[in-house]
Amino acid sequence: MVPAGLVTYVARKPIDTSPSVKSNPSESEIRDWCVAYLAKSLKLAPERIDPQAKFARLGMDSAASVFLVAELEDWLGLDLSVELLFEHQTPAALARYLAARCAAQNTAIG
Amino acid sequence: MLDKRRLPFTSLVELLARRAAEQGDERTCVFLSDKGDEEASLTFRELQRRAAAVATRLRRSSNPGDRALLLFGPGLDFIIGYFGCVLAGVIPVPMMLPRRNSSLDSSASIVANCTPRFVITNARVRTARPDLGDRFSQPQMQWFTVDEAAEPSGEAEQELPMPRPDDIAFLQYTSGSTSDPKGVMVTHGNLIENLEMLRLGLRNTRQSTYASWVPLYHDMGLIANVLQSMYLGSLCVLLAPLTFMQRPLSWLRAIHRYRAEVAGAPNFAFDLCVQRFRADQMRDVDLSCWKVAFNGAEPVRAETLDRFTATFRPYGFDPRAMHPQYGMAEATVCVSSGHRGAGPVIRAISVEAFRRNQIAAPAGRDDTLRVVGCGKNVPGQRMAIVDMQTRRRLPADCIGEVWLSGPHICKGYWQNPEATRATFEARIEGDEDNGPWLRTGDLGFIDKAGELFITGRSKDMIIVRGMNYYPQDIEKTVYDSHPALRRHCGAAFSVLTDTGERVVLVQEVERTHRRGLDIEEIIACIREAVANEHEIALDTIVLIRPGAIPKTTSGKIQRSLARQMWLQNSFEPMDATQIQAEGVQF
Repeated sequence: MVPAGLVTYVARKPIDTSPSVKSNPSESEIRDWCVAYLAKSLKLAPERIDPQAKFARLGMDSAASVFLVAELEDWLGLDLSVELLFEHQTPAALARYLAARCAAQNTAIG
Repeated sequence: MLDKRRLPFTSLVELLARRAAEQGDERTCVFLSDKGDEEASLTFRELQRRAAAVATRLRRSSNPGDRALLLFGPGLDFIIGYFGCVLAGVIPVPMMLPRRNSSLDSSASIVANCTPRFVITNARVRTARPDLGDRFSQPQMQWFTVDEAAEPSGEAEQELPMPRPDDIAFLQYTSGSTSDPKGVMVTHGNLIENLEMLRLGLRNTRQSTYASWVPLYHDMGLIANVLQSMYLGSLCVLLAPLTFMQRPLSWLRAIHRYRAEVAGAPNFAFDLCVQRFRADQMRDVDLSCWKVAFNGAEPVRAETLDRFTATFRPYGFDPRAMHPQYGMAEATVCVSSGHRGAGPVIRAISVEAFRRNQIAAPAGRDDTLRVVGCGKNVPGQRMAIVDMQTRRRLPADCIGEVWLSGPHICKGYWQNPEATRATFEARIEGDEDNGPWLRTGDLGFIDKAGELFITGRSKDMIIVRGMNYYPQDIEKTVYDSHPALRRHCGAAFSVLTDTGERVVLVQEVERTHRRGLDIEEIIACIREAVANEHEIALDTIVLIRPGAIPKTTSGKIQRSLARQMWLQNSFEPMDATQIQAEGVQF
């Protein structure tokens, strides 16, 4: 019999993540970034991801949600909650919240 | 069965009592917040006192052997609840908190199987998750929060029973199989035997501090970390699983800060540390204290070990600390282990021979597959590689099913005699050793030096990030998620990718629904349902026409054939934009 599965590798390119911190992004930049990230990680064309649709519809498990939060932390230089995607349930809502957080941070620094 | 001359304890009850008496003021566990601060800690005496308070209250309304579900978020209250049950002679059943949006299926099947008398939790979970009250509301079930039992009740302390080695200490459900739940009955004797095997294999001492983020409802989190450190009398530093997932390097910083000697996790965790490596977060971190980095609960990959070592060697990580293991709940937790400091065994074998189920030296660079050894047989266990057809023992370097026998092999599955017979009571044809033998369902070979290599699985089990799933459960969730999907006409299987084991689903669509299908809507329904019910993000979904799923003549889904067909791109998706296998190497 054929041993089931353990040595069949399907090559995947790692998702491109940029560790450089983005300062003061606009709401639409954040939304586009989220859509691009989700498209890459779910292997879908970006136009198939509706920013108004809930993350749950994309079938993200807790791990996938936390990975998105972690990437956003790096990109925006913010401390974010692991529950973030539970509190803001669509890419559009998330971008609105994060843009406000970034703006508040810049005001505080400036 | 239990050799008292060799083993220091006969049960967890005796273990905790002795630790509390002999080193009561020392800390047994510390829980770190997501910022790395100490959020909670317990000394051995505090644990003993708080667990006894829980036990005293449980004893008032329980009979020995009643079951109690443990429903906790990350933190130390789980450990208080667990030991509270054990001291009371009640059988704890650790359970993952169901997702808010999940249906009742998987938790309901465990409840139906073990018929718990208690649901044990803490005030935090009760407040944050009111939905759980509805989920576990059967009339015979009594809710119980460990925080309420924090203070001694003022009544005279009851005499608590001392369990025998053969008594069940707890039930470990191996996965949420809806149709056929399997709760492994782990006895006190099994635990003490396997904890001793682990101690010997890792050459652990009272100085062997542990650092772990693996969830406590998982056997690796509970037994291989918390209970092993208690067995040694050492400290166990705990982080929440999501803290690790969000900031993997926080695990490595905890190892550094507490000078942990032993820290391990499933393979994906080592990849995640490399993927999310940031030099600025590793400043001043010194990992030279880390003597055993055990890696188990999912296939161990040579590339993972290479990358991790290359990345963290500049921070003092010793390549010989890499410590692949193999284990399973049916054998308590640990089955094979290397020796501390020996380093991993990685062998290059021929791909071509391997396809014919044989082990040979590679013919050249292109014919090379690197396989990682999972260590040697733990002391006191018998291990055999058995031909699945003839049920005869195979010699070294031959691939067959891994069979086990020994004092740590559990009693069987709770209230499931059929599965118990099939799995725990096997006999090797023409062999003097009558076992009984445990059939692991895993395939592998043992080389001439006694190193075990796991090469595959005879069962259709899917393992994602160290958690086991039955494909039939995922398939059921899928066809229930949308009316256009044909019942019992889908196959879920896993493929190993650079980022670990991923789940692929191939599913037929009903003939009557083939016109005017909203493919995107169907796929969204499938993805949402599978994530909610099983905590799995499906990697790829392929919708196909009716009749295209391979089945046996008796109508059983042929998952390994479906998997092979998918890898060869031989399914015709109904939607051309669906992505199929890419860049297949072997």
